[in-house]
Amino acid sequence: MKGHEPIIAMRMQGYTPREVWIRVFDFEPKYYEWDEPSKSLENGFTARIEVYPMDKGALDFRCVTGLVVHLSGTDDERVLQTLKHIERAKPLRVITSTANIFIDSASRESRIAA
Amino acid sequence: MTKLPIITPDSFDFKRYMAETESSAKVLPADTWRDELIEIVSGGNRITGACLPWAKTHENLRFRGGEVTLWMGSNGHGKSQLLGQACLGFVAQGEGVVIASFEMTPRATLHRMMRQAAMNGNPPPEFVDKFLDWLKGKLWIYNQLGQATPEMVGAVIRYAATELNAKHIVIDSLMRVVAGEDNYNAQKDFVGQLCTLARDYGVHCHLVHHTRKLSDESQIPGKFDSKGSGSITDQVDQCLTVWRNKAKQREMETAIRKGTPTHEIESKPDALLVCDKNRHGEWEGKVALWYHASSLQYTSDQRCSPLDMMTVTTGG
Repeated sequence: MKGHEPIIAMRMQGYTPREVWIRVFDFEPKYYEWDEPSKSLENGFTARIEVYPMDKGALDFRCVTGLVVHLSGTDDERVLQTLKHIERAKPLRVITSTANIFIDSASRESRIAA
Repeated sequence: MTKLPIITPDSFDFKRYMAETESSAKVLPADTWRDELIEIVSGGNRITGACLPWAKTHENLRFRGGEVTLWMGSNGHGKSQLLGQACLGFVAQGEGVVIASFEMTPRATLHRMMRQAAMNGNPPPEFVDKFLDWLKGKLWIYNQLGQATPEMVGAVIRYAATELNAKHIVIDSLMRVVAGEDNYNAQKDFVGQLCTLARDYGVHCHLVHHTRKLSDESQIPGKFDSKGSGSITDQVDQCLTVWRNKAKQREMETAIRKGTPTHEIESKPDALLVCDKNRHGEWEGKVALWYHASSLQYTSDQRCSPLDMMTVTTGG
């Protein structure tokens, strides 16, 4: 998992991102220096966390507590597993979307294609 | 259109929240690791991690991310040299390596590794380009000689993992990072820090450490002979000892001087790689190695044929 450390550091100092974009990857992508998720905020982009295939078991998403989270990915099962981990951290709202899934925790709108 | 700021001040006491939820976030039900357990079982006895250059070690010794290996040995027994050859093997397997040697200059480190890669003692000047081109993007040297601090080493590990995407970090040696052989608490703290960083950043740390002087060099040291705090070997995942068979060297010299047959002496190994701690594996034991002097390579049998480290990926 990458990108959570700068959010924690920022929140420790009394600042918070408006929202956090979490992407569940099926592979570990290569980055340009400016595109690294850990540097997203530093480079003026939105807060971004990436979850990789090796991120199994315990994922600590306390950095998104009380925040709006946009969760996406291509592997429905892994996205839903990640959603469970995120919900444990009590975010304000999670909007989850994949090609087959749309779940908005605030509006209770939920659509999972068969 | 109103522009919304990406970052806003926050009145929420996040520091307190993190402290209060530390236990509930980290003490988890066993079924959290269900998928990982299924993966292990479905993979049978599949062994993962980078391997050493010698095929006979592949089933028993591996170097996985998140772990720390302690490389021990007495002075002059070739631990850094053997580790240098292992690093060439990691590079050949596509895994980036950062070497932080506080005991040897980068020039000396690279020269020795180049001889190992060239399989002889006098590689031609054009081999330098071939060797360095092969290492491009895969090997980095921390240019710091003499003493370092745990903070400096920590920063190098973080940089190596996040910026260079390196998978192996060599720290040669512990005594150059923690001053004072009897500074047991500092040694314990540093090795603890190394284990945490290895785990957090998914890299394998190779820590070189000296063993105390034994009464006689023919004795093979083990994990209980490590210099300094006992907690060093307690904390790491693997303990490997490099021991050179100096008695064989002397026997060979005598036999050559007297003109007596050397076959029997040659069949004895020149060095042993002893594993006496393997936390995530079932094997502990000794690996016999033969030394090819001109290439500075350790080989797996008495034929002593050096390996082509630049093409070998899983060893021979």
